[in-house]
Amino acid sequence: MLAPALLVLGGLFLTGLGLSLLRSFRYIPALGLTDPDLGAYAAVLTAPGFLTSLGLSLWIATASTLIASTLALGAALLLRQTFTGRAIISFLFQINLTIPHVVGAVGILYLVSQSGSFARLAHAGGLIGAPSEFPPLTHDPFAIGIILTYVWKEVPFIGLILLASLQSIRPEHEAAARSLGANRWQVFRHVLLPLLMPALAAASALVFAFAFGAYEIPLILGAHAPEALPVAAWRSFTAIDLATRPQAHAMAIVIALIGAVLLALYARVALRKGGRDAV
Amino acid sequence: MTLELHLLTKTYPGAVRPTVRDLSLTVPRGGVTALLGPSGAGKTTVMRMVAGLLAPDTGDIRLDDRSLLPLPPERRGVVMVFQNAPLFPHLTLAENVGFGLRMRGLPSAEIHDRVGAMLERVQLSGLGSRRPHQLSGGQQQRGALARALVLKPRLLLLDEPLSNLDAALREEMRGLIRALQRETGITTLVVTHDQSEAIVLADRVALLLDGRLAQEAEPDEIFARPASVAVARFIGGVNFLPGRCVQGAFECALGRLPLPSDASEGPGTLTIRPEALRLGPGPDARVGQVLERTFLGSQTRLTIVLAGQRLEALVAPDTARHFAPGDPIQVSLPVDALWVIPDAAG
Repeated sequence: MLAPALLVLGGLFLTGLGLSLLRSFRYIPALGLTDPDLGAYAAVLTAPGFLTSLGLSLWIATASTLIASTLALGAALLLRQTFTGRAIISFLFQINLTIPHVVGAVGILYLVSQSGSFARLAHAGGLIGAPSEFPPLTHDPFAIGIILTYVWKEVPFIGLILLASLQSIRPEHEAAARSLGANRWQVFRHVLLPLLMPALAAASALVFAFAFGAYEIPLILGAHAPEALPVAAWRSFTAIDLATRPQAHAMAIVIALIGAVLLALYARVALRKGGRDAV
Repeated sequence: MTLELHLLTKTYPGAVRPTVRDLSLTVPRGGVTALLGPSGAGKTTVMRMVAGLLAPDTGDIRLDDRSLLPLPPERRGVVMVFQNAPLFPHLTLAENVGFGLRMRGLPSAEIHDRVGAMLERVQLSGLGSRRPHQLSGGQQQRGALARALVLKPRLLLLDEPLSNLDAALREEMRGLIRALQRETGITTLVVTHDQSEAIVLADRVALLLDGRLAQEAEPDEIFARPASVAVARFIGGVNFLPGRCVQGAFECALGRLPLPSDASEGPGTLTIRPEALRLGPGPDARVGQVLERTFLGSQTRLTIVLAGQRLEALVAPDTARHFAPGDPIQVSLPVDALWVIPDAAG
């Protein structure tokens, strides 16, 4: 049953990865490169902006994941309660799952850039002298607009996964913990959070991987320098000079490797921490 | 600690009737009281109110004459053992048993010692490092009991503690609960829908029907002297004869039956438990006819028609073998097994 799906997915993924790997070793017969070497990797890793770009990408992914996970956790805990209007709030909470990232990024640009709605509102309200005095939240060195977009988009994604996980946790566990002397915070800290940790770790790992490796949002909302690693890879890949193509592939492979290693470490630490901190 | 429930009432949002109505009950210090009743009678609601997990609409809950209502669950000194979620799945058995002690901020060494001693007491020594899914159902229940008792609570609440266990484990667990309760002297309230569980575990039984306290007494008294027809039916009563008490005898379709001396005068319903009917010749025997014979395992049920009244008898299968449907049968109703429920009691 799974074989056709695996064949298509695995085939496409592995073929793409294999081709990229070959080209990253400067093996592109169409360009006359037929002697594989590590030159592209050396060029990428020793490039002056590499570490800064890597740092920026790590910052974007880490901040987006932490903020989105925290907000999603709070939202999921609130949405599991019974209250009037819960269905409507739940619908509104999920609605932006259907909106593409790029549309969200453009929306953020219109809202929070120095020429955006908030800047004009602040100016009209007399809070700032000119729209340009509005704090730079897009194309800024701290990537605030990028992080905002990821948080806006990923909170419902993580929240829905957590809600599903919460529904599988028997309410008697919380009641038993209260009865055994735990206050509300202790119940959350020592019972709910550890029981949610596998779902939280999985969901936030996906968000981290996406935010670390995707180029569209940093391309739209990011500063020109430093630029996030995937943006640098994309610029190399689309450069007129075909000689930079192996470096683009090398950068993509480096991004994939770093992402995979960080994900493995994160998942391991998060799951272990969940179990150890339980008591 | 003496637990007193005073006129407790609880209606869930959207419900048309209260789940618990005007319930008043005293659980004596150091004793075990079983809150017995069918599903939906409000038993678990009462437990949750006592534990502080649910607020009553009206009424009071007092432990040693101090109201528990202003206190959150963690400060009541009341520990509840749940039916469906015995142990936290993410913790080992030892961590589970030590959970409450850790929440109280006790030193690790003391927690370690107390958990070890408690695990030994419930015969789970050596299993402390196992997770709940690596334990049997019986071991999990014992672990949950240990987790509660290690805290030395003022009041212990057990919600259907034996319902998820097979027959052999139920016996073992019953014995353990009784033994531990006697050792510790902790006042205990047990919720159960199973009469046999209530009888074996409890000193007193409070029967809850439709959210109201139908009767509260020692187990044998509830069986011998049910307060109402509903109580009698719940505890397995099937023989009911309408009639009237007149001068120490009950006048009904079977004629005039002599009664124990304390029967009160007036209209009522006579009841006799099916296992109390005597079959075969006797000085007061009446002749009826066997309608049906049903083998139930350790007993056989004979349905008998006597003077147009349908009665059921539970007898040993060996005795029942002599009677087939349609056969005549002699039946006696021993005076000391008769009980009249006055009509006013319903």
